[in-house]
Amino acid sequence: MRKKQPTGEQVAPVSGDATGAAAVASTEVLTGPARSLRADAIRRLKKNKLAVAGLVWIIIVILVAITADLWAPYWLGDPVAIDSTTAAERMLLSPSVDHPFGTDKLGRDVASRVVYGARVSLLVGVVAVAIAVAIGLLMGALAAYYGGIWDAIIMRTADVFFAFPYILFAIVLIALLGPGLQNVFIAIGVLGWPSIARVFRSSILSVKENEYVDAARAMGSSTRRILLRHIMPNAVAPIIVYATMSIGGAILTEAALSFLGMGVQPPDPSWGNMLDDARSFMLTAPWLMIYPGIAILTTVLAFVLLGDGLRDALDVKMKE
Amino acid sequence: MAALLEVEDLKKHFPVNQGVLLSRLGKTVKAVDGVTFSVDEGETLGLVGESGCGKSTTGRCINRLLEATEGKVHFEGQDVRKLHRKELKAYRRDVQFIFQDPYASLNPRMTFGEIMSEPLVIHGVGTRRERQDRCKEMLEIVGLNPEHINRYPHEFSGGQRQRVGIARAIMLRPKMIICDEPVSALDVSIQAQIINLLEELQEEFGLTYLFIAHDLAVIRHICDRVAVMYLGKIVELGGWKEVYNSPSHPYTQSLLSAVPVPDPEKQRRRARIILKGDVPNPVDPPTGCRFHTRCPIAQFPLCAEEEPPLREMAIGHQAACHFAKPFPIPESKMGGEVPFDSQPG
Amino acid sequence: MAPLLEVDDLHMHFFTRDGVVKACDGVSFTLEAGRTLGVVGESGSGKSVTAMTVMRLIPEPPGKVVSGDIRFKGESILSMSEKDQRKLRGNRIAMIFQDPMTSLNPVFRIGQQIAEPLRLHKDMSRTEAWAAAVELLDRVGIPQAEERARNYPHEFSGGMRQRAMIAMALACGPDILIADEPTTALDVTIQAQILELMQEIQQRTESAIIMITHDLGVVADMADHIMVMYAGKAVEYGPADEVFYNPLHPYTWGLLESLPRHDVDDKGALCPIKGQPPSLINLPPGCAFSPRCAYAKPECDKKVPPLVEIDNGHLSACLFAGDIDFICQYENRVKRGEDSGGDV
Repeated sequence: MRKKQPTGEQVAPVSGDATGAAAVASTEVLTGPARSLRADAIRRLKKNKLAVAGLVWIIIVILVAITADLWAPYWLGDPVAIDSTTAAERMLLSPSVDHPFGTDKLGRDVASRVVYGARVSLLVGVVAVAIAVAIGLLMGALAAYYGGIWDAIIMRTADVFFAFPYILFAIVLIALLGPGLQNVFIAIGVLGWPSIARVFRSSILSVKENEYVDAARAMGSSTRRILLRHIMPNAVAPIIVYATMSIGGAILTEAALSFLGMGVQPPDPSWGNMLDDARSFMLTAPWLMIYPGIAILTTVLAFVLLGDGLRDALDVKMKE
Repeated sequence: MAALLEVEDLKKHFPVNQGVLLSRLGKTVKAVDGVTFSVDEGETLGLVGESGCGKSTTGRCINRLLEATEGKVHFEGQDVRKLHRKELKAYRRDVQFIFQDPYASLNPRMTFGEIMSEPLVIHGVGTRRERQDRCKEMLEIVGLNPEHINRYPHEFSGGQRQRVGIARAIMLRPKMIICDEPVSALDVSIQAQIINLLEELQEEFGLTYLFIAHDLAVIRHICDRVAVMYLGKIVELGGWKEVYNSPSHPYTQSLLSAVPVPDPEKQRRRARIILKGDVPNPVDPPTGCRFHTRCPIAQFPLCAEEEPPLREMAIGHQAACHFAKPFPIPESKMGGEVPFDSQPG
Repeated sequence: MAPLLEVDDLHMHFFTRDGVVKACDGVSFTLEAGRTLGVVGESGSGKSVTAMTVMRLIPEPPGKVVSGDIRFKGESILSMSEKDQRKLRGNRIAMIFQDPMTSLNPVFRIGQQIAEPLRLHKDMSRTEAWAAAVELLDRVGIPQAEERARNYPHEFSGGMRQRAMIAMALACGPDILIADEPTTALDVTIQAQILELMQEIQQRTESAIIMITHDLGVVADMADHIMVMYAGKAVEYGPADEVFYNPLHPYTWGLLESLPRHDVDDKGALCPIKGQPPSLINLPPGCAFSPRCAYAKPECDKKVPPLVEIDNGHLSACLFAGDIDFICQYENRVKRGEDSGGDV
């Protein structure tokens, strides 16, 4: 087999001469390592200051929540237990060195409760969204793959879910299932699948149109291989963005449900039920409301910023 | 000797959808409506026509990216339309496809090496090491640096990506390649590189090409025989010299005359046939001869009532027109005088 | 009398995070009434950017006119206020874009869109403008203009949409029509119709046309003068016949040679230009074409060759364009008036 030299030499193109078409192409030497799309996306994400800030904050919250048992009860105080002997003295203290966020009406350290509340929020965020994503991916894939009547059934069911006000629906579900953290996961997860399904379905449909899918078929690839190797990896990208932002939404929903008394039950702290407790003390002990409030605000915002940054980073894919 | 590929009366009709429940409203887009041709081993047959003429659809029916509605497709004597799984997979080793868009035809998440070795993986050819070697070899053959085997498509230009697309198509040493507008999306100076590459590969690997394009100059250059398509039908078929120098069908004549030629004096001298109106809707093609609504020499009622079959004008040169007369152009070719006041007959 | 449009050593750069993209890096030309200038180049050559700069359609960050001037009827466009520039746009200088699918607003009727420049610049009432729009549609060859004006863009075919775009551009009777690849997305037979229409309009209205395209055939058909662009610079400029039959720049040679010949029966391999167009961020220090040039010499990499007049009205940005021996190296020129290679 003739080998063509990738050449930089000057070859005068004389007519009729079959100059190696090959010789003409690669005068380029690419420097640096291969840049996969993922590497490019990460690079772009790093440049987005807000997204990075969001990511950093999320990492902080995660670390704080995970390690809470190691330090919070000792430095800050037990979030749940009430020491009835000292309770009266420790009620509703404003923030101080001992209690950076103050204490609540039962003498518990607010900071400690916020830290433990973070666990709840993160757990709900991740688990509920995981449930929604699992159901949504499946439904979306089925709708896109089979099309026709199945597509219609699944998507119209999703539409029914959309027709109801989300919070109302959540409240009804909790009323049916009973309050408690576990049921919050279920409620949020079950309510969240339609959006994911819809996004995933349209993502698959648009990826399916790409010629590289045709190319795979044209070389004899099995449907399974096409789905796993070509369609899935490319269709999943928008889901990553959507899921990230949904975590923020799930945290908010949990807070709302707990605020209404339908989520995490006392004495376990959740940012939402802390806000509920704070209601009567808004003017007299504002710290009861401010710190859980800030916690919710910053954490949700962090997820949204991260999601936004991911969307921009993953967006500019093919052509510059 | 039987031809490598034989296509007979191929039809592809797409249903026009009116929603999920009412999709059986009977209307269809007759994208390909009775196309017959054959391709011999080693030759390049061009399918040329404007948008909507059905050339791409024809190509895709041949390698069953689309399922034809009717008609026969025989490759090496085998009925392609009846092949099932294993046989179909084997068929796809022999007949490969090159796509138009170098940006969309390569999976952006795969490296060049992965893209090129995919056909080998699918057909279980070679060990991992052997596949890698073959990929590197192939990169060199198509004129790229073999070091690029681990790079991703988006780091490269359109022309370079198209080379990889071509490399991928020849990995399995196919017998025939269907090229669907392989250079249309590329810059002019890169087009020439790719065309040369395709020709060299054809010679080196003994390939047969079905070359689909709308650019008449490219078709003229690369093809041995040419089929001109209009609204789902072949209106003229013959050797490139005959079709370009003595176009017989009025559509071919208009098409050739409409292509601007990079030679100002010739352009000024040309008598041009400017067709009126737009291409009709393929859902409702005109009755009789499909071209009659725009044809400068249409005669009524014949042309509106009776569809002309492909008639032999000269050996190996056919045209589908009641009044086609081979019109030899004494001076060169595309860009010559094509007066239409010659009497049809 | 001052020429209609004068572009004087225009440099327009984009300041991006990845570097300075010298999209337009030294372009000069003049345009007279009733004449057509063909701007030829491949993607990345800067031809569209130049046109958009003349129309002042480039957003000022990240773009910026670094130096040079654009003069319309003697008056500098660059020093005009935004308000005055807007008075020119659509009114005295109009533009037709490449993709008729995306350059018409899908939610407005065709008639409304054509009427818009009339209402903006000529202060017409809605009825007056509508009537004028219908007439324009008729003039550009849309049958049943009265009814079709009420259609939406998606009800028009590609060729008709392009005609509608032309009608919109012509509405205020502009002095200059800038057509940016107006027929690239169209079929050959429709392209022929559109080009004929444009020539007919030009004859009637004496407007000047800047035809931007990569298709040398289109340019051979339409242009009086040709400007060949490469990597943001004009590398050759001259009367159309001169550029085709006596090209003075190796890039032009390369372009002409790489086309499949329409007149030669003996089909040899094509003669492509080797390599790739350069990135506009990292331009080589000397002549931008030198890495791909088969005739390059060491001097070519030293500094950017200026666009100088070689012959009457024929300019080239090649250091050796004036050297007759150098020019004769290009053997494949199309012979004027004869056929090269006839029936073999």
